[in-house]
Amino acid sequence: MKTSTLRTFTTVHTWTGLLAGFALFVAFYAGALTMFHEEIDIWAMPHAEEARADSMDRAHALLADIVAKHPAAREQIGVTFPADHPSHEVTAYWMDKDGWKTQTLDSGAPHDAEDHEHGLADFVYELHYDLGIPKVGIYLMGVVSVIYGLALVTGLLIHLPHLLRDLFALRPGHNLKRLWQDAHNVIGILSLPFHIIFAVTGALLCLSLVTLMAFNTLTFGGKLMPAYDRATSAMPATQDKGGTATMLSPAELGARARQAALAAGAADFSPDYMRYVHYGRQGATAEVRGTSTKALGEYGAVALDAIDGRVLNLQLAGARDANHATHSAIFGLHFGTFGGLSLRWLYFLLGLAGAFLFYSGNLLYVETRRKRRHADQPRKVRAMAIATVGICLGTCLGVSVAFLANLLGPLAGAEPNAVVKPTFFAVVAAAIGWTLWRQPARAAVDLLFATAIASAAVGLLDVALHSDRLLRSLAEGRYAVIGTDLVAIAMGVGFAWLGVATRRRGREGDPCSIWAWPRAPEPAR
Amino acid sequence: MLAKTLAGILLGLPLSMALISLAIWLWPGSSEAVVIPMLVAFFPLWTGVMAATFLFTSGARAWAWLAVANLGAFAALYLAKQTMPGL
Repeated sequence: MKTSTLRTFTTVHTWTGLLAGFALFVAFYAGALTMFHEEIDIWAMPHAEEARADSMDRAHALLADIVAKHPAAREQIGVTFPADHPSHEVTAYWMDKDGWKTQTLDSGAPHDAEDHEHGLADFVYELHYDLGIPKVGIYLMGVVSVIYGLALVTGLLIHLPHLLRDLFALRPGHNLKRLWQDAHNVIGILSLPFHIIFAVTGALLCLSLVTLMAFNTLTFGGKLMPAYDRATSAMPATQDKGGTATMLSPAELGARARQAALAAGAADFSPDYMRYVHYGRQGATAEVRGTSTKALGEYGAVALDAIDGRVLNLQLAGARDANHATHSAIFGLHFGTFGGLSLRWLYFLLGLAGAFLFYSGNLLYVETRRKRRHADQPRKVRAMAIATVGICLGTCLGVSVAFLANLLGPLAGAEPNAVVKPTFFAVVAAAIGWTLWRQPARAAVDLLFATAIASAAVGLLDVALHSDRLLRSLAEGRYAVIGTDLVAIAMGVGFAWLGVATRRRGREGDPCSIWAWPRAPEPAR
Repeated sequence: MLAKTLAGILLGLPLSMALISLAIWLWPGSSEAVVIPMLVAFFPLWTGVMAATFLFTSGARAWAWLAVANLGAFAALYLAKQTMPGL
């Protein structure tokens, strides 16, 4: 490759990295935690009641009631099946004149599907896919995913000439920039497949609707949308034949779908969502979605006649076409659901490594532009260092303090759901302010130690405050609570170690650096 | 640099869309059978086009060549839609 080309790609890599790096740091940190969404959800709700065994019978009555009150729901109405984490409620979904509506078993009245309350686990997940910004955040993350893809391609290209020679090189020593560069490269290259997966599936998951609409109008003359529906669901063509009909219950249809899935060779099938079309009419049809294990794309669907329960169509692992297999694989690869617990740990570690990749990228920007003979550093280096420390470390602190708020809020009489999100944003804002005031070298140490204390407190306080729940769950052989406590404490130790290392750099490292603490000039020799 | 970046974004987008649509339309057998795998290839293709655009020697050349490529791709798509069953 020509030197000029290499330089161009280096510039592109730098700028795409800077543009997308902050959002990606937040997304990867929150996404790594989201690998344990259910465990965090269980941890966050110590007083949650067990799901009632009769909830699907009540769901059957709920759907009939909704269709009677809201005729628009007859066209299509869906309902979720119970899951074994507490914030998950059995919820009905339908499209009314002014958008999607939801109603839970216990709420008694419909709500807009957008404005449901977020528990702690859902907030961390939301942070992952839209940075906590309602409505436009998800599109922003879609654009970030595309920029991320460009950064990956250019990063690979500039590293290509010495890829093999430097792959396992990690050169600790006097040249700290070399060490950071080696760490950035080795993590970038070794986790490249993982990053490619996220750049591609992240863009698709965030921008699929926009992309489909663009293709639909620009190149397919309106024929893509119907094809897309057929390519991603199992629902056959249906027709409202009028009259009235008695619907089979969600529980019954779920059981029949499972039976059909097992007969078709799926390893297993647990229904998690189903929908009726033409509810209560002749011609009514149901589609049950569910997950099977031992498949890359675990999602599958079975379509049934909603009146007599005949199986009309199957799209399951091992028995489906390229469209359904690909669609299901997008979800499986992104959410890491195609394996067991060890895969989730792998995704968790790769997620944290990804966050480190973006953080180290910013550090390399700072390090490359550093003045080597002056303690004072240029304005752009200072600004970048402040933003990196304030936003990235502020996010780590914000997440830990949000966990604390969830734990301590109820003691002050606050609803946990109401304090989690404001707490997070207040802490991030405070962290940025603190970094501006204290300067990045000291603020980084402060924020790392604060995060260490907050994280350790999450685990220790939960053990102290909810010891009865911890013992009960252990006696029942459930490890979500103890696992969350221990990981929080371990992350506290990890952040403390980073804090110690950063303080050492401030005190003893190169004084001509943004990371050096102000110190007395050395005596002239 | 900026001209090439904009060319890659603004002209690379329709070019990638046209190429993906063309691939779906020309697929032997049923076009509908490959809709999702082809659409998955859209973002990687666009990213590739954006990266490749930086290889042009000047911004003007990037705009010109990508404009020509767009014309060609959309013309081919138009022809295919006239003559093949497609979606």
